[in-house]
Amino acid sequence: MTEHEYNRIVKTYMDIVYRVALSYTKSRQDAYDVVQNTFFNLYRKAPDFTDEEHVRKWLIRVAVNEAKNLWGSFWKRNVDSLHQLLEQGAEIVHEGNAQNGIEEQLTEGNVVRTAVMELPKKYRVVVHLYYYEEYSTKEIAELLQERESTVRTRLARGRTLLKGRLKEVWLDEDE
Amino acid sequence: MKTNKEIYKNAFDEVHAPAELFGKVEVSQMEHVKRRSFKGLRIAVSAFAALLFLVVVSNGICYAATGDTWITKVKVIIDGKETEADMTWHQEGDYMVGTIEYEVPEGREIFVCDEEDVDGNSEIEYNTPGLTEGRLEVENDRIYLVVEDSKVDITEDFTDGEATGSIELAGVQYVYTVTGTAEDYDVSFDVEE
Repeated sequence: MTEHEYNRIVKTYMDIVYRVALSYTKSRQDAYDVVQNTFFNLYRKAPDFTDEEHVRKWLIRVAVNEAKNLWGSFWKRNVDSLHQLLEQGAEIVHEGNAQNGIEEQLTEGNVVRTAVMELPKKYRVVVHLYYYEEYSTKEIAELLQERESTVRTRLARGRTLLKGRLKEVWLDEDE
Repeated sequence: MKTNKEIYKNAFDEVHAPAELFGKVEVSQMEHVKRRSFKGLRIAVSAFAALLFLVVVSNGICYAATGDTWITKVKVIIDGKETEADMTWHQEGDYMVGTIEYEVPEGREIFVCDEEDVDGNSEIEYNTPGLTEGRLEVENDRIYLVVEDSKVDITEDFTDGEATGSIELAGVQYVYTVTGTAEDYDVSFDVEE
Protein backbone atom coordinates (compact mmCIF):
# COMPACT_ATOMS: atom_id res chain seq x y z
CA MET A 1 0.00 0.00 0.00
CA THR A 2 1.45 3.34 -0.99
CA GLU A 3 1.37 6.43 1.18
CA HIS A 4 -1.00 8.00 -1.32
CA GLU A 5 -3.40 5.06 -1.10
CA TYR A 6 -3.25 5.06 2.70
CA ASN A 7 -4.09 8.75 2.85
CA ARG A 8 -6.91 8.27 0.36
CA ILE A 9 -8.46 5.58 2.54
CA VAL A 10 -8.12 7.77 5.63
CA LYS A 11 -9.81 10.67 3.88
CA THR A 12 -12.58 8.52 2.42
CA TYR A 13 -13.43 6.43 5.48
CA MET A 14 -12.56 8.58 8.49
CA ASP A 15 -16.15 9.68 9.11
CA ILE A 16 -17.46 6.12 8.72
CA VAL A 17 -14.99 4.74 11.25
CA TYR A 18 -15.62 7.66 13.63
CA ARG A 19 -19.40 7.12 13.56
CA VAL A 20 -19.06 3.40 14.17
CA ALA A 21 -16.67 4.11 17.05
CA LEU A 22 -19.08 6.64 18.55
CA SER A 23 -22.02 4.30 18.20
CA TYR A 24 -20.11 1.69 20.18
CA THR A 25 -18.32 3.76 22.81
CA LYS A 26 -20.63 6.79 23.24
CA SER A 27 -17.47 8.62 24.22
CA ARG A 28 -15.72 11.08 21.95
CA GLN A 29 -12.33 10.42 23.55
CA ASP A 30 -12.73 6.67 23.19
CA ALA A 31 -13.89 7.18 19.62
CA TYR A 32 -10.70 9.15 18.97
CA ASP A 33 -8.66 6.24 20.30
CA VAL A 34 -10.61 3.71 18.27
CA VAL A 35 -10.14 5.72 15.09
CA GLN A 36 -6.42 6.10 15.68
CA ASN A 37 -5.94 2.44 16.51
CA THR A 38 -8.00 1.39 13.51
CA PHE A 39 -5.92 3.40 11.08
CA PHE A 40 -2.74 2.34 12.85
CA ASN A 41 -3.79 -1.24 12.10
CA LEU A 42 -4.35 -0.26 8.49
CA TYR A 43 -0.93 1.36 8.36
CA ARG A 44 0.79 -1.58 10.03
CA LYS A 45 -0.93 -4.45 8.27
CA ALA A 46 -1.70 -2.87 4.90
CA PRO A 47 -4.19 -5.56 3.85
CA ASP A 48 -4.47 -6.47 0.20
CA PHE A 49 -7.96 -5.14 -0.47
CA THR A 50 -9.95 -6.40 -3.43
CA ASP A 51 -12.39 -3.48 -3.72
CA GLU A 52 -13.85 -0.52 -1.85
CA GLU A 53 -16.44 -2.61 -0.03
CA HIS A 54 -13.63 -4.80 1.26
CA VAL A 55 -11.92 -1.69 2.62
CA ARG A 56 -15.10 -0.47 4.31
CA LYS A 57 -15.90 -3.82 5.93
CA TRP A 58 -12.32 -4.32 7.10
CA LEU A 59 -12.20 -0.90 8.73
CA ILE A 60 -15.58 -1.36 10.42
CA ARG A 61 -14.63 -4.80 11.76
CA VAL A 62 -11.33 -3.52 13.13
CA ALA A 63 -13.05 -0.46 14.64
CA VAL A 64 -15.60 -2.67 16.41
CA ASN A 65 -12.83 -4.89 17.77
CA GLU A 66 -10.85 -1.88 18.94
CA ALA A 67 -13.97 -0.50 20.61
CA LYS A 68 -14.55 -3.83 22.36
CA ASN A 69 -11.01 -3.73 23.66
CA LEU A 70 -11.55 -0.25 25.07
CA TRP A 71 -14.88 -1.05 26.66
CA GLY A 72 -13.49 -2.40 29.92
CA SER A 73 -11.49 0.71 30.64
CA PHE A 74 -14.45 2.83 29.60
CA TRP A 75 -16.58 1.40 32.38
CA LYS A 76 -13.78 1.71 34.89
CA ARG A 77 -13.64 5.40 34.27
CA ASN A 78 -17.30 5.70 35.25
CA VAL A 79 -18.05 8.29 32.62
CA ASP A 80 -21.35 6.76 31.62
CA SER A 81 -23.52 9.07 33.64
CA LEU A 82 -27.14 9.71 32.76
CA HIS A 83 -26.38 13.38 32.36
CA GLN A 84 -23.68 12.67 29.83
CA LEU A 85 -25.94 10.35 27.90
CA LEU A 86 -28.65 12.94 27.59
CA GLU A 87 -26.22 15.54 26.32
CA GLN A 88 -24.27 13.14 24.13
CA GLY A 89 -26.24 13.66 20.93
CA ALA A 90 -25.71 17.41 20.92
CA GLU A 91 -22.13 17.29 22.17
CA ILE A 92 -21.00 14.84 19.52
CA VAL A 93 -22.07 17.13 16.74
CA HIS A 94 -21.14 20.32 18.53
CA GLU A 95 -17.49 19.44 19.02
CA GLY A 96 -16.87 17.80 15.67
CA ASN A 97 -18.64 20.48 13.70
CA ALA A 98 -17.18 23.33 15.69
CA GLN A 99 -13.71 22.09 14.80
CA ASN A 100 -14.74 21.76 11.19
CA GLY A 101 -16.21 25.26 11.08
CA ILE A 102 -19.84 24.21 10.75
CA GLU A 103 -22.39 26.18 12.73
CA GLU A 104 -24.40 23.95 15.03
CA GLN A 105 -28.18 23.92 15.00
CA LEU A 106 -30.46 21.85 17.18
CA THR A 107 -32.40 19.63 14.83
CA GLU A 108 -34.44 16.48 14.65
CA GLY A 109 -31.10 14.82 14.15
CA ASN A 110 -30.06 15.73 17.68
CA VAL A 111 -33.17 14.06 19.07
CA VAL A 112 -32.49 10.93 17.02
CA ARG A 113 -28.84 10.76 18.00
CA THR A 114 -29.67 11.15 21.66
CA ALA A 115 -32.23 8.35 21.43
CA VAL A 116 -29.69 6.12 19.68
CA MET A 117 -27.03 6.86 22.28
CA GLU A 118 -29.43 5.85 25.03
CA LEU A 119 -29.78 2.38 23.55
CA PRO A 120 -27.83 -0.43 25.18
CA LYS A 121 -24.46 -0.97 23.49
CA LYS A 122 -25.33 -4.30 21.92
CA TYR A 123 -28.32 -2.75 20.12
CA ARG A 124 -26.61 0.50 19.20
CA VAL A 125 -23.96 -0.91 16.90
CA VAL A 126 -26.41 -3.21 15.13
CA VAL A 127 -28.84 -0.35 14.62
CA HIS A 128 -26.08 1.89 13.25
CA LEU A 129 -24.73 -0.70 10.82
CA TYR A 130 -28.25 -1.45 9.61
CA TYR A 131 -29.67 2.05 9.27
CA TYR A 132 -26.58 4.04 8.40
CA GLU A 133 -24.22 1.66 6.64
CA GLU A 134 -27.20 -0.26 5.17
CA TYR A 135 -25.76 -3.69 5.82
CA SER A 136 -28.04 -6.71 5.92
CA THR A 137 -28.40 -8.66 9.15
CA LYS A 138 -26.28 -11.39 7.59
CA GLU A 139 -23.48 -8.95 6.80
CA ILE A 140 -23.72 -7.42 10.28
CA ALA A 141 -23.46 -10.89 11.79
CA GLU A 142 -20.26 -11.46 9.82
CA LEU A 143 -18.82 -8.09 10.85
CA LEU A 144 -19.59 -8.59 14.54
CA GLN A 145 -18.81 -12.31 14.61
CA GLU A 146 -22.31 -13.01 15.93
CA ARG A 147 -25.11 -15.31 14.86
CA GLU A 148 -27.53 -13.76 12.40
CA SER A 149 -30.44 -14.68 14.68
CA THR A 150 -28.76 -12.69 17.47
CA VAL A 151 -28.37 -9.70 15.19
CA ARG A 152 -32.03 -9.90 14.13
CA THR A 153 -33.12 -9.99 17.75
CA ARG A 154 -30.96 -7.02 18.70
CA LEU A 155 -32.16 -5.04 15.70
CA ALA A 156 -35.80 -5.74 16.57
CA ARG A 157 -35.30 -4.71 20.20
CA GLY A 158 -33.36 -1.64 19.16
CA ARG A 159 -36.17 -0.60 16.84
CA THR A 160 -38.73 -1.08 19.59
CA LEU A 161 -36.71 1.03 22.01
CA LEU A 162 -36.18 3.74 19.40
CA LYS A 163 -39.89 3.80 18.63
CA GLY A 164 -40.62 4.16 22.33
CA ARG A 165 -38.25 7.11 22.62
CA LEU A 166 -38.90 8.84 19.31
CA LYS A 167 -42.63 8.11 19.02
CA GLU A 168 -44.02 9.96 15.97
CA VAL A 169 -40.55 10.67 14.54
CA TRP A 170 -39.82 6.96 14.09
CA LEU A 171 -42.05 4.89 11.83
CA ASP A 172 -43.43 1.45 12.61
CA GLU A 173 -41.64 -1.22 10.61
CA ASP A 174 -42.26 -4.82 9.76
CA GLU A 175 -39.83 -7.01 11.64
CA MET B 1 -42.59 11.10 4.47
CA LYS B 2 -39.04 10.07 5.31
CA THR B 3 -38.19 6.45 6.00
CA ASN B 4 -36.45 5.44 9.19
CA LYS B 5 -33.21 4.95 7.25
CA GLU B 6 -33.46 8.48 5.92
CA ILE B 7 -34.20 9.84 9.40
CA TYR B 8 -31.23 7.94 10.81
CA LYS B 9 -28.89 8.91 7.99
CA ASN B 10 -29.84 12.56 8.22
CA ALA B 11 -29.12 12.49 11.95
CA PHE B 12 -25.69 10.90 11.62
CA ASP B 13 -24.71 12.72 8.44
CA GLU B 14 -24.31 15.69 10.78
CA VAL B 15 -21.58 13.86 12.71
CA HIS B 16 -18.08 14.35 11.34
CA ALA B 17 -14.70 13.36 12.65
CA PRO B 18 -12.91 16.41 14.09
CA ALA B 19 -10.30 17.80 11.75
CA GLU B 20 -7.57 17.19 14.33
CA LEU B 21 -8.11 13.45 13.98
CA PHE B 22 -6.93 13.56 10.38
CA GLY B 23 -3.63 14.97 11.55
CA LYS B 24 -3.28 12.21 14.12
CA VAL B 25 -3.44 9.41 11.57
CA GLU B 26 -1.21 10.97 8.93
CA VAL B 27 1.68 8.81 7.86
CA SER B 28 4.15 10.95 9.80
CA GLN B 29 2.17 10.40 13.00
CA MET B 30 1.88 6.67 12.35
CA GLU B 31 5.64 6.53 12.04
CA HIS B 32 5.98 8.28 15.39
CA VAL B 33 3.69 5.73 17.02
CA LYS B 34 5.50 2.83 15.42
CA ARG B 35 8.91 3.98 16.52
CA ARG B 36 7.97 4.56 20.13
CA SER B 37 5.81 1.51 20.80
CA PHE B 38 7.23 -1.56 22.43
CA LYS B 39 5.56 -4.48 24.07
CA GLY B 40 6.72 -6.01 27.31
CA LEU B 41 8.94 -8.97 26.74
CA ARG B 42 10.58 -11.31 29.21
CA ILE B 43 12.88 -14.01 27.96
CA ALA B 44 15.50 -16.30 29.33
CA VAL B 45 18.85 -15.59 27.78
CA SER B 46 22.25 -17.16 27.51
CA ALA B 47 25.55 -15.49 28.26
CA PHE B 48 25.26 -12.95 25.47
CA ALA B 49 21.82 -11.85 24.46
CA ALA B 50 20.72 -10.44 21.15
CA LEU B 51 17.06 -9.55 21.47
CA LEU B 52 15.33 -9.33 18.14
CA PHE B 53 12.12 -7.45 17.59
CA LEU B 54 10.49 -8.23 14.29
CA VAL B 55 7.95 -5.64 13.25
CA VAL B 56 5.63 -6.12 10.33
CA VAL B 57 5.06 -2.98 8.34
CA SER B 58 3.65 -2.27 4.94
CA ASN B 59 5.92 -2.06 1.94
CA GLY B 60 5.06 1.32 0.54
CA ILE B 61 4.75 3.21 3.77
CA CYS B 62 7.82 1.58 5.17
CA TYR B 63 10.00 2.75 2.35
CA ALA B 64 8.45 6.18 2.39
CA ALA B 65 8.62 6.70 6.11
CA THR B 66 11.68 4.97 7.43
CA GLY B 67 14.63 5.16 5.10
CA ASP B 68 17.87 4.31 6.85
CA THR B 69 18.69 2.53 10.08
CA TRP B 70 17.83 4.36 13.28
CA ILE B 71 18.45 3.75 16.94
CA THR B 72 15.97 4.09 19.79
CA LYS B 73 16.58 3.94 23.52
CA VAL B 74 14.82 1.27 25.57
CA LYS B 75 14.84 0.52 29.27
CA VAL B 76 16.28 -2.82 30.31
CA ILE B 77 15.94 -4.27 33.81
CA ILE B 78 18.44 -6.88 34.89
CA ASP B 79 18.11 -8.28 38.41
CA GLY B 80 15.99 -5.31 39.32
CA LYS B 81 18.50 -2.76 38.07
CA GLU B 82 17.25 -0.49 35.34
CA THR B 83 19.54 0.56 32.56
CA GLU B 84 19.23 1.95 29.09
CA ALA B 85 20.11 0.15 25.89
CA ASP B 86 20.19 1.01 22.21
CA MET B 87 17.75 -0.76 19.94
CA THR B 88 18.96 -0.63 16.37
CA TRP B 89 16.28 -0.79 13.71
CA HIS B 90 16.81 -1.70 10.10
CA GLN B 91 14.70 -2.87 7.23
CA GLU B 92 14.76 -6.43 5.94
CA GLY B 93 12.39 -6.80 3.03
CA ASP B 94 8.86 -6.30 4.32
CA TYR B 95 9.95 -6.16 7.95
CA MET B 96 11.53 -3.79 10.37
CA VAL B 97 13.90 -5.61 12.70
CA GLY B 98 15.03 -4.08 15.98
CA THR B 99 18.06 -5.51 17.77
CA ILE B 100 19.41 -5.00 21.27
CA GLU B 101 22.73 -6.55 22.18
CA TYR B 102 23.42 -6.84 25.88
CA GLU B 103 25.77 -8.96 27.95
CA VAL B 104 24.20 -10.62 30.98
CA PRO B 105 25.11 -13.46 33.31
CA GLU B 106 24.05 -16.87 32.07
CA GLY B 107 20.57 -17.94 33.08
CA ARG B 108 19.34 -14.45 33.91
CA GLU B 109 16.21 -12.95 32.52
CA ILE B 110 15.87 -9.71 30.65
CA PHE B 111 12.73 -7.67 30.73
CA VAL B 112 12.31 -4.95 28.14
CA CYS B 113 9.83 -2.49 29.61
CA ASP B 114 6.74 -1.22 27.90
CA GLU B 115 7.35 2.06 26.20
CA GLU B 116 4.10 3.60 25.18
CA ASP B 117 3.50 6.43 22.79
CA VAL B 118 1.83 9.62 23.87
CA ASP B 119 -1.61 8.12 23.40
CA GLY B 120 -0.91 5.02 25.43
CA ASN B 121 -0.65 2.69 22.46
CA SER B 122 1.71 -0.19 23.01
CA GLU B 123 1.11 -2.60 20.24
CA ILE B 124 3.82 -3.95 18.04
CA GLU B 125 4.34 -7.48 16.84
CA TYR B 126 7.59 -9.11 17.77
CA ASN B 127 9.40 -12.37 17.70
CA THR B 128 11.63 -13.69 20.44
CA PRO B 129 14.61 -15.94 19.83
CA GLY B 130 13.44 -19.50 19.48
CA LEU B 131 9.77 -18.56 19.32
CA THR B 132 8.19 -18.23 15.92
CA GLU B 133 5.07 -16.25 15.33
CA GLY B 134 1.76 -17.91 16.19
CA ARG B 135 -1.05 -18.18 13.67
CA LEU B 136 -4.72 -19.09 13.75
CA GLU B 137 -6.23 -21.97 11.80
CA VAL B 138 -9.93 -22.72 11.43
CA GLU B 139 -10.96 -26.35 11.10
CA ASN B 140 -14.52 -27.66 11.35
CA ASP B 141 -15.71 -24.39 12.90
CA ARG B 142 -13.01 -24.64 15.60
CA ILE B 143 -10.28 -22.02 15.96
CA TYR B 144 -6.77 -23.21 16.78
CA LEU B 145 -3.67 -21.29 17.78
CA VAL B 146 -0.75 -22.94 16.04
CA VAL B 147 2.80 -22.27 17.28
CA GLU B 148 5.57 -24.37 15.83
CA ASP B 149 4.42 -27.98 16.45
CA SER B 150 1.86 -27.08 19.11
CA LYS B 151 -1.85 -26.56 18.51
CA VAL B 152 -4.32 -25.14 21.04
CA ASP B 153 -8.11 -25.02 20.63
CA ILE B 154 -9.12 -21.46 21.62
CA THR B 155 -12.65 -21.48 20.15
CA GLU B 156 -14.61 -20.80 23.34
CA ASP B 157 -12.06 -18.48 24.88
CA PHE B 158 -11.88 -16.42 21.69
CA THR B 159 -15.60 -15.67 21.37
CA ASP B 160 -15.18 -12.20 22.87
CA GLY B 161 -12.22 -11.38 20.65
CA GLU B 162 -9.49 -12.23 23.14
CA ALA B 163 -7.99 -15.52 24.26
CA THR B 164 -5.18 -16.08 26.73
CA GLY B 165 -3.56 -19.23 27.99
CA SER B 166 -0.39 -21.13 28.53
CA ILE B 167 1.67 -23.10 26.06
CA GLU B 168 4.96 -24.96 26.44
CA LEU B 169 7.58 -24.68 23.75
CA ALA B 170 11.02 -26.20 23.93
CA GLY B 171 10.75 -26.56 27.69
CA VAL B 172 9.71 -22.94 28.25
CA GLN B 173 6.20 -22.05 29.42
CA TYR B 174 4.75 -19.08 27.55
CA VAL B 175 1.55 -17.11 28.09
CA TYR B 176 -0.12 -16.38 24.78
CA THR B 177 -2.61 -13.62 24.06
CA VAL B 178 -4.70 -13.65 20.90
CA THR B 179 -6.90 -10.67 20.02
CA GLY B 180 -9.08 -9.80 17.05
CA THR B 181 -11.00 -12.21 14.88
CA ALA B 182 -10.17 -15.50 13.19
CA GLU B 183 -9.42 -13.56 10.01
CA ASP B 184 -7.64 -10.58 11.46
CA TYR B 185 -5.75 -11.18 14.68
CA ASP B 186 -2.70 -10.45 16.78
CA VAL B 187 -0.75 -13.03 18.75
CA SER B 188 1.75 -12.14 21.46
CA PHE B 189 3.77 -14.15 23.97
CA ASP B 190 5.35 -13.63 27.35
CA VAL B 191 7.35 -16.11 29.33
CA GLU B 192 5.15 -17.30 32.20
CA GLU B 193 6.12 -16.04 35.63
